[in-house]
Amino acid sequence: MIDYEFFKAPSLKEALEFLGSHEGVKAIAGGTDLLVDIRKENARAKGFKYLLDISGLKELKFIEERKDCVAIGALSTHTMLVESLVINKHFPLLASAAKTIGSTQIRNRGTVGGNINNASPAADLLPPLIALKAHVKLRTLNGERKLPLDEFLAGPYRTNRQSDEIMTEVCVPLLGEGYFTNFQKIGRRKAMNIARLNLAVVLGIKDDTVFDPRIVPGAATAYPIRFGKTEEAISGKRIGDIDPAEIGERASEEMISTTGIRWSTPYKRIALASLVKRALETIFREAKADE
Amino acid sequence: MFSTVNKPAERVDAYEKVTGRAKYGADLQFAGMLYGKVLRAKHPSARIKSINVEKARAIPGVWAVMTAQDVPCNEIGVIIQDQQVLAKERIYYIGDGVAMVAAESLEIASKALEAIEVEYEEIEGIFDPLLSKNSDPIQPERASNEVVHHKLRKGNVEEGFAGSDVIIEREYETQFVEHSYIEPEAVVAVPHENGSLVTVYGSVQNVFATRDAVARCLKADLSKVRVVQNHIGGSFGGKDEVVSAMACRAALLALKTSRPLKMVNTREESILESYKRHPYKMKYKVGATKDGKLVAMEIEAIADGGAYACQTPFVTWRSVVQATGPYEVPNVKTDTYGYYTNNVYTGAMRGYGSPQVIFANESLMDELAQELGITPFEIRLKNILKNGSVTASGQKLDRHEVSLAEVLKKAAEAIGYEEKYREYSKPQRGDKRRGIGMAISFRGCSLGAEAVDGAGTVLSIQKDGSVYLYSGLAENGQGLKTAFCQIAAEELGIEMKHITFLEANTLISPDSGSTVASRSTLVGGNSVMRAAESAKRALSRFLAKEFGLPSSDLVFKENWIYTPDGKKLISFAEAANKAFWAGVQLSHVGWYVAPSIHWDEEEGRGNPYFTYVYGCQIAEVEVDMGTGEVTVLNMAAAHDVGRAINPEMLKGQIYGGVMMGLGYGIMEEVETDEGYIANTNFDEYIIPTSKDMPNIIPIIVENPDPDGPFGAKSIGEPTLELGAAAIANAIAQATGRRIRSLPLNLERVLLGHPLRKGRGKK
Ligand SMILES: Cc1cc2nc3c(=O)[nH]c(=O)nc-3n(C[C@H](O)[C@H](O)[C@H](O)COP(=O)(O)OP(=O)(O)OC[C@H]3O[C@@H](n4cnc5c(N)ncnc54)[C@H](O)[C@@H]3O)c2cc1C
Repeated sequence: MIDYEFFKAPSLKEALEFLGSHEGVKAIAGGTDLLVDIRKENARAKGFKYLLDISGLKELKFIEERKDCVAIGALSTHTMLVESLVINKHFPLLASAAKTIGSTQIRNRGTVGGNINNASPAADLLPPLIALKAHVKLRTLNGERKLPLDEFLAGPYRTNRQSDEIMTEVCVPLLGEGYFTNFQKIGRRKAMNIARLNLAVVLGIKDDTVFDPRIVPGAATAYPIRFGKTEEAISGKRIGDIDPAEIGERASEEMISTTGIRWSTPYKRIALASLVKRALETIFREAKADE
Repeated sequence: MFSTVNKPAERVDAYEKVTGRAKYGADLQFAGMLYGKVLRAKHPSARIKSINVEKARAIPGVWAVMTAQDVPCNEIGVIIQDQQVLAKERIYYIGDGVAMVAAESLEIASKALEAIEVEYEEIEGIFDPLLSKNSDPIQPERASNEVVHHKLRKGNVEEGFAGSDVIIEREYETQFVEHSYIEPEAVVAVPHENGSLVTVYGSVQNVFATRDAVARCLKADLSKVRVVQNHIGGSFGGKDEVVSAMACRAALLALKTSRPLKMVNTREESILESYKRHPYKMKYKVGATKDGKLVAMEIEAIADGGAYACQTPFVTWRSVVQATGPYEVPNVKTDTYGYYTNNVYTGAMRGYGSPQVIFANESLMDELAQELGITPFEIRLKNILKNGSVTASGQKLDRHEVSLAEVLKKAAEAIGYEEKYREYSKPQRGDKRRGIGMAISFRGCSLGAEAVDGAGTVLSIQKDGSVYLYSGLAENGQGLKTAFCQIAAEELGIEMKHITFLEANTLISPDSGSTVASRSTLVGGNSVMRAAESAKRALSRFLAKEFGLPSSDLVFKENWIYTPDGKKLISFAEAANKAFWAGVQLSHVGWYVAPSIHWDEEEGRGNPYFTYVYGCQIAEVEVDMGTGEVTVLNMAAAHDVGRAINPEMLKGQIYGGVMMGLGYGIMEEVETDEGYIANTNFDEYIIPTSKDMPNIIPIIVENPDPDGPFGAKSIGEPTLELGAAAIANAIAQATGRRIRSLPLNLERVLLGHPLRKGRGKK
């Protein structure tokens, strides 16, 4: 059994003060990852003395369109993503991804900040947010820093968060003209489903030619990263010359070159290729329809 | 024709449950109650070198720490008494209890467990029943690891195969699955209450089996131990031996401390300790003529019994009787075996030895049809049992309607089988491919020749005309209370609202054996009828005398009592009141014993069951060829139940059974690795959600049985046994590839074989 003391933060300032002045504090937002780990006495959840409940911090619960980005407060829930007009307008793949998370209850409790900070290899928001080149904002009592999400992630269940920092928001830069997005996920059932594999694809198409492709599979590598070689293989190519099946296979090769052969590789090699193929086919179809 | 039965009466416990008033085992509170917790084994196979409990005992708030030394009789079991209440010298599986504590709070109890020091010496375990077969006995006092061997013989298979035009041989395999009752095991033991030595309340499937275990463990008279059932949050066959063990432990601690004691498993404890559905390895050989008539079948099925015998002897017996499927086969040789291993033990689970063999024999039928170039529908119609057919065990079916053709045709029609089968047989393009598959079964009702099959009910009319029932069979969530109240109301001609069903209680209810084998409505329902008939007779005789009537053939309906020629005589309530004050006996016991049956274990034949039910389920699936994902789109389920006592509850059984069959078929598996269990909660043990539920088309077929109450037979288990087989056949059609092991999860469907995680010891 893990013993700890529980505190509830009335404001962000007080939360940061508490974090700044105590050792061994864990923040709890929706608790949908943390409480599971505490119950399991998972090594990840050990070695803390205080649980700091930040779930009441209304100032971190918002979705806001700004000049060149959409800011998502760290305490925004998955349901908010699903229902947000702004998100559905600019980043439909983020709403699609959020829709696949857990169940209604989990989507009502679980937060964007929790999903990112838990940094699970299978987290459903990480691939789309990485593909969207999101930045995260971290606050301490004395200041704030902003860094790209892919630099914030440090490994499976590991981030570069300092112990006195709270994540306040995620900034997702608006996509320019001609971008298309797609999200795919495989699970063992139709809900309450941790991804066996997921995938976010963001790319631009101009004059039938692909630009700025971003391909981010999840649960394929130790933690979600962009598949640079696969992206290269389609960048600058005319969509008529791209064989989605072949690109799918390339993505699988890239996965294996990163992870080596694992028990799950025989399955994931085929399944990832299918997802990549499917995402590209869907996007190309949409691009055609747009013409 | 009927006023209460055959109608969708409201569940009598619905209001209590949806308002949260219903009390479950874990809700109970008693003054001075302590909490019990069990320390479980660290290894699946080990010798206990020493146990030191001194530090645990010294913790303030700890009232008792007990080990096997403190148990008067440490071996329990319904069939073979080999299950340890607490492990004595040997650990046989990972869920074995080693020591237990009683403390003032759960937290203190948990701390105390951490303070118990156990020294183990690991012993190499056996985790494969095929290896176990030829290994030295795991339990030193046994001659071998064989728990049981059943055989069935008919005709001569050698001659049969010699006379066959087509012979195929196939091997099939099934997995461990967990019952997944939503309420983990929970009991409260209260010492010295109302004249009993100990009373156990809780989530008990079979009050008498649990009572027997506790009395045996305590070396007490059966009449000194009272077991009372509470509302139960699901069981599916799962709250028998594991709850009996828990009840023994709680009773021991309660008596030791002279305090009420509550024990509740966490989900992890439940999945680690509780018995599972048997994994089977099966070899089938079948011979047929070229026009598709079955000639011979040879079957060997090997069940992993795990650490304790539990229900293995009877589970494998049902398998031996039903292994051919519902077909006329002149020559049959079937052998089923159960072996001990150091895996989690296996026992009763809804279906009870049938889902495994049905997965095999129904896959086999499709494979044979393909070989013969005929459709799955045709091969079944050619070979199914009909009125007057003789089963594999040599039983002539001439006492009830053998309705296989009817259920098959009704299910096929409802789902549009033939058209879809033709459509999906054409070459399919693209990633999403469809298939449709069927499975049919016959199922012996009730216990069969396993055991004595009697049941009783106490029916007591009060002086205001209200009635209560005490039954020896227990509500398991299936709706037994409601069905029994409907039967009593119909027979007494009163409204159901005047009837109260009291909980099963071993010191009041007649010992009726176990609520298992889909026997309750059939056997227990008959006992309710008998009790009501007897009460009615007593009232009628009294009234005839009272009113000076020539005949006591009175008619009871709509809360009134009428003369045979239809004159309104007196209300039921008034009659009851008069009768009471005249000293007429108003409490009656109804007892019913099932018609006689027999089984010759030596010869491997007999009339194992007095009646059978028939069912057909057809699944339509879509398979994602790129990811292995399976979506079950539609499922038609036609079941002949004799008579639907409550058609709506019956549909509930069908929906639930189909969903459990779907989970068994495509996702569920307790992952064991050298006896360790990897997935001990529902984050990793995957069961279907409401979103996985297909469109289910329930079809109730009624051919009243001469021996059933109002003609009723069974429904609980038949609904579950067919789904996995039907889905497997549908997937085979969609993908063109046959998978012969369950579950048909992502990896098997995509690759054709499973992947092992090999995450090693926990
Ligand atoms: C039944 C179930 C189903 C699930 N299904 C899915 C699924 O389909 N897909 C998926 O991706 N996830 C799933 N999850 C996981 C989980 O719901 C999500 O990851 C969720 O977004 C976590 O958010 P939370 O607010 O509950 O995090 P918490 O559990 O509160 O926190 C998680 C971690 O993040 C830290 N943290 C939280 N907020 C901040 C902050 N603002 N600043 C710094 N650190 C912070 C915490 O300290 C903790 O370490 C599921 C969980 C459950 C229980």
